[in-house]
Amino acid sequence: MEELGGKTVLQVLQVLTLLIFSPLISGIIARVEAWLQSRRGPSFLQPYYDIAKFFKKDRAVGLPTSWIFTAAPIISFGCYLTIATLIPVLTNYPLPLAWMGDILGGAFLFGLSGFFLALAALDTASPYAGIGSSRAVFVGALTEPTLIFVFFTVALITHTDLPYAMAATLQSSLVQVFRPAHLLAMVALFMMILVDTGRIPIESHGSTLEFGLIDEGRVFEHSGPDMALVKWGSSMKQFLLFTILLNVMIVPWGLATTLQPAAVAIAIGSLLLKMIALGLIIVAIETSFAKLRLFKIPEFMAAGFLLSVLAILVFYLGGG
Amino acid sequence: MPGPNLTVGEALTSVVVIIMLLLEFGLLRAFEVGEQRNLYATQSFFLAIFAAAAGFLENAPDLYVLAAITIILKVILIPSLFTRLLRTQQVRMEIPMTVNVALSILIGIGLTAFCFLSMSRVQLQGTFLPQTALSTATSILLLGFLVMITRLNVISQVIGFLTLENAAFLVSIAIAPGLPVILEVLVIFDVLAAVLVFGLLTRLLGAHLGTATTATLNRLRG
Repeated sequence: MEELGGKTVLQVLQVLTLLIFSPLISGIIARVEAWLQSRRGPSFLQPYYDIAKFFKKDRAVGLPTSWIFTAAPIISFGCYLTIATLIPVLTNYPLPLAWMGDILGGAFLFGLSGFFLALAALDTASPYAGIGSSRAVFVGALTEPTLIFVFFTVALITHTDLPYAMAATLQSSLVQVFRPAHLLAMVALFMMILVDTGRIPIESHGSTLEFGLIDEGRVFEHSGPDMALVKWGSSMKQFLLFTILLNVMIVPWGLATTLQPAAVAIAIGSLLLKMIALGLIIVAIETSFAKLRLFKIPEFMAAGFLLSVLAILVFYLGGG
Repeated sequence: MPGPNLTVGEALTSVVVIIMLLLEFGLLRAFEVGEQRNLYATQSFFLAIFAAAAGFLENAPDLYVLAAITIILKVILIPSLFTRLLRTQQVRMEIPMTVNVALSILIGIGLTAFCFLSMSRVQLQGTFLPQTALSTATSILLLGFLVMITRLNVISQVIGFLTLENAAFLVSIAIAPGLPVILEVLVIFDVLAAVLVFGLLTRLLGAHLGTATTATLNRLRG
């Protein structure tokens, strides 16, 4: 019974880690990127200030909108909080609520959140938000097949579709890390995360040029607390995707194996360090590549799809 | 643990082989000849790594010699020949395509799937054979043909042809690491001859037609 209590605390702690630290990671990435481009850049804490500012402001809602427009930020925020209970954020053993859903469950929640944000953008009848929404759906339709093949690869390697099982398999031996199918699926997932977090080959993050916007374009019409939830949600989405990539696919080491507070503290610290390292890689990509033209995006997606299909082929037929 | 059994060495050599396959896909993606030349040099470099790894794992020192020859000829000499050809001939760098990039990559995925499906039926018991090597090599072979068919620049066709030879080399190392070195060296010098012939063709095309595309070759000329 006591163990269950401890696990429940951890479960809450997972969600809190996500809530508290997700803007920090966005802030660090933005700052380091500014440094690399010889700018001074905003403070690490800028995303927190932005969110606080938006919470203080009034909400302006367009006349023709329906309830969807006001509900969408809350629904999408709730989806991200739920995903945090399904994946290994801090522990390498499943917590009580982890059995609610598997990898596909998590993917559905990401999809639901994106769907409501797209609906809300269309609801306002604003042309820029509408363009952002239709582009986001177009890009999402192209990432879907790759993600599904990555999930298939994980399922083939572990015989389950629980993210915890994948992390445990990787920890079990060195061969599992260098297994070609695993490496291919890992790179494919990384490419799709670049797409989903609106990073450089697809979209320039934090840009205000309407013609290039995809994800950021959808949320033009939100204001006040809604905007705060959307901003916070987008850094939470990034945090969650990084967690999946790091703790499930690349380096599931440093996770807490017991209920001890020290182990949990180490887990939080190592997770943040891993995220900063991944953030540095993403910054390097952002500063060394140019944004793809919109009509070149399918080529990037084709490359990701190729990697994920090869992962399946190599595992299933090539003995790797 | 689940999944096919592998050792770390096998897993890593399989990764090298798969990188060669991905570079072959890169040839389909490339828009200009210089990029394809670099991809070919990189692929040959990974071939040399594969040969050296096979030599290390199989305890066959003659494979080190092959790796060295591969680096000298295919990573340094042949690409620099291409560089000279490109500079002296003033050929246009961009590659005319009959099939666009996204579609040719999808066709390539189909070909790769076909190779993996068919080769998984072949039961070959080599002494050194990461199971991926055979399927991947045949995929590289078919993709090389795809490059030669859908890209109309002479030089990218030559590079497609040269990667066919890389694939053959890969198979010969994977299936028979004990093959006499002299045979392998012969094959490599065969390639050098092919490069010279293609170089001549490029020069002739450039001199007579002022172009490096083979698209106009189907018209009869008196």
